[in-house]
Amino acid sequence: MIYQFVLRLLDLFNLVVLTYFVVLNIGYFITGLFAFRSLRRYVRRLRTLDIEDLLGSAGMPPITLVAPAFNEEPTCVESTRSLLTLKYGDFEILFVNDGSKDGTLARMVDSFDLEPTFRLPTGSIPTKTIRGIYRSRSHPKLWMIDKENGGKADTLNAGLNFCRTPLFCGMDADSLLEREALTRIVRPFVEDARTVAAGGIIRIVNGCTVNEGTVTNVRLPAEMVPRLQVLEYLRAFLAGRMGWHEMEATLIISGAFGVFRRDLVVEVGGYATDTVGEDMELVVRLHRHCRERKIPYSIGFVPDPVAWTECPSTLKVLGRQRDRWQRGLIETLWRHRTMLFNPTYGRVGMLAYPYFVFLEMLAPVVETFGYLTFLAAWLLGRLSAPFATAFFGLSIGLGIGLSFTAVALEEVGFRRYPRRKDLYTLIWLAVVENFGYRQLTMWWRLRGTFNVLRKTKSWGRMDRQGFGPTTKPAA
Amino acid sequence: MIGSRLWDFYLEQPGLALLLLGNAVFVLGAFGLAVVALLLRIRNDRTARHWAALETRWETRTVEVLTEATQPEQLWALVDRRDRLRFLNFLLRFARRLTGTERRRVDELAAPYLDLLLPQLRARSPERRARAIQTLTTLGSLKYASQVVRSLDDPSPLVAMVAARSLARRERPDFAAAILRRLHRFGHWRPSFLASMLASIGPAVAPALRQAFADRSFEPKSRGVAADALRELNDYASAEVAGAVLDETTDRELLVATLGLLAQVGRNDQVAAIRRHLAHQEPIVRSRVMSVLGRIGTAEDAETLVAAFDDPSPWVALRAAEALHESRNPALARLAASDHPRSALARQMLAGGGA
Repeated sequence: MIYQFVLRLLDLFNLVVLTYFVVLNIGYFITGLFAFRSLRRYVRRLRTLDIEDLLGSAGMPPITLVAPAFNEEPTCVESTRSLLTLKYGDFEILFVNDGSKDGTLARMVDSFDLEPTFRLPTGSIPTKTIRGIYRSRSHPKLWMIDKENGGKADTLNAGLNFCRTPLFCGMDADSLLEREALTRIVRPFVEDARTVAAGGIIRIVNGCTVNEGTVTNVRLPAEMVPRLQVLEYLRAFLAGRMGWHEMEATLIISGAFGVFRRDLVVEVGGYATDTVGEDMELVVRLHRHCRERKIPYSIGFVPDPVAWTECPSTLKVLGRQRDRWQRGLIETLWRHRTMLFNPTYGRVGMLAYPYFVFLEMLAPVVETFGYLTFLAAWLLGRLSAPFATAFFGLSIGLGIGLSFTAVALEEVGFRRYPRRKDLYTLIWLAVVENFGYRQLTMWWRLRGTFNVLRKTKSWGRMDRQGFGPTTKPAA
Repeated sequence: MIGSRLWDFYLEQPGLALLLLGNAVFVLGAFGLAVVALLLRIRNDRTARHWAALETRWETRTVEVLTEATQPEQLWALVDRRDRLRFLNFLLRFARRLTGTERRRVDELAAPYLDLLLPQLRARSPERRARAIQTLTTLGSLKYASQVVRSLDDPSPLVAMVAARSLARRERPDFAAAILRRLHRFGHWRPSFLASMLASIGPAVAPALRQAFADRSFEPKSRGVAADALRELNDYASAEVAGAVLDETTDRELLVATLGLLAQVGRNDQVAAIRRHLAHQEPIVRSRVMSVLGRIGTAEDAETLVAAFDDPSPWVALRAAEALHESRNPALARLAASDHPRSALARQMLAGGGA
């Protein structure tokens, strides 16, 4: 009797998992369609844009780059040099040292001739103690704020407190922005004064040649782990965020490169320091703030301003990163759960939020559960060949299809990997990643889910190699 | 045989069969996408090579024409019928690098082909219309001005803005008036950007801007944009209008823009009217007042600026400190040496760390 009940339960679970995969497929497919439409229009629109003309325009809003840094000794000088060469009329750099334990502070002081100075804070978001403020003698645009260690969100808030421009750019100190990236990302703010935030695309620098802070030769990395992440980033940004942008329901702007209206971010209290997903949390809070107060606003994604970033090159570090991302996602979605299926929040509450809760946040749980029940059903002889085919077809087909979509979108849009061999590799990776890597990612995310329950708050160490010759390109 | 077995399976488990079918379609579609990506790459590479070779030939001959080593006809002879629009694109990019006589010669080279763009002004895609406007105004001198002015009323804001920016570059006040009449169309654009666009027309646009600034029938935002443009032009003749607007308006944006203009062109006799806004509830207005007083205020305003160090808003204090610094007022050094909670701000100014 109990055995029969268990068997029926198993069948039911398998059906639920199968249905979940169907819904997931449809969700991804719809997002991909929107992304395709949006990207094609965007590329056409780019042809009407004369970047040089925009650069020469005196009406572009001043902007502050807030670069939080913790133990960034290997990359801080090169990435700051890269920031200083940005093509933009009026900008300032606030390099915020978050109590680094390595030689970040000393390297910055030596390399940019920084001297202690004064600067009045214009905001009063609570942060850890500021230990000193420096300004470069050789580059007056460059300031450094040295503070006690408090985490990335606290560091961004410290920068925000000293920001004097209407817009600020939140980024990672180890990111390399392309020369025209600021002009391109600021465009939505110029074209629509209701814009409160915009995110750019993050691409992986591993394998590329970097010369004086500029990526001069784009290549796929030689190592497998970073290679697979190239594909993941293309999928996340071109197929995912582009699609959500088209649906006017952008919920995530990467912490590595996003521009925000300073006054509004200060008004909502800055970045949340009690979550590891401070970038997403801020965007969701901005949506909530504007919707609840009926403030006309727009939050979007711009696919062509690029921030190049170094990705983890070992599974251990990557696992920590994915664990943290999952925790950040869950913490944010839980904190703002009132938005779920709440029409007050429009498409964000009715569309994007449910998508992220059910198809992103729960995916590792359902997928892992699916594999387990599948295994149990197989052991108990309850599995028919058609069902097994459908299950694996959906599970694997989903991954391959979505990755191919991303590769196709890259071809339609930007073709940043000029070698045809790299394109072949990306297509090959889209198949390969489904056998092992994807399951590993699911495991890390599942671990992140459990870690939320255990209230783990650790950020996880990221070992940097720097932008030198150690970033091996593919042969 | 296989067909009948599949049919049997469908009859047995229709749901699962349909699911498998959908799945197969999805996977096939996915692989189709990969093939599309590959084909796109092959086509794009081939097209890029073709255009690169063609443009190299055009470029060499264009340089020869510009240096008068050869006649334009010899360049035009290289342009195939199918490549005429591409040739215009090439000239558009080339023209952006040139000025003076050479630039005008590029316009002459484009002239026989520009009429081809006129049908594109009616294209369904706004991006194509915008691109046509851009090419016509960059390479077409004033011949197509009427079409471009008409495009200011294009249903697409993108096309209207491209037309406005193109006209603004022509430095003609009549175009400025046409843009000003349609400023409401650019309601979502950032005011500072619009002001900069208008100011780029040059001093000849100032009378039209003054008129728009004074005209109460214009939206406050449009009047504010006009004020910002006048500030960029440093138009001293607008001080009178600014004084009148200061007395009349209650709109925050317009007030801020007017104070900004007065900071640039205001007269000493307008200080009394400006001081009336010292206690305005909006920090942005008070901070603008500080900037104006720093420029045109009298000795008694120095005390006001010092007192602004106690303003609840750091922005007001910052502007006051800037004003004291710019007027080289010794009060700033005294504040820096004092134990005032914001003495660091005074030290920041004295150390050259202004906003």
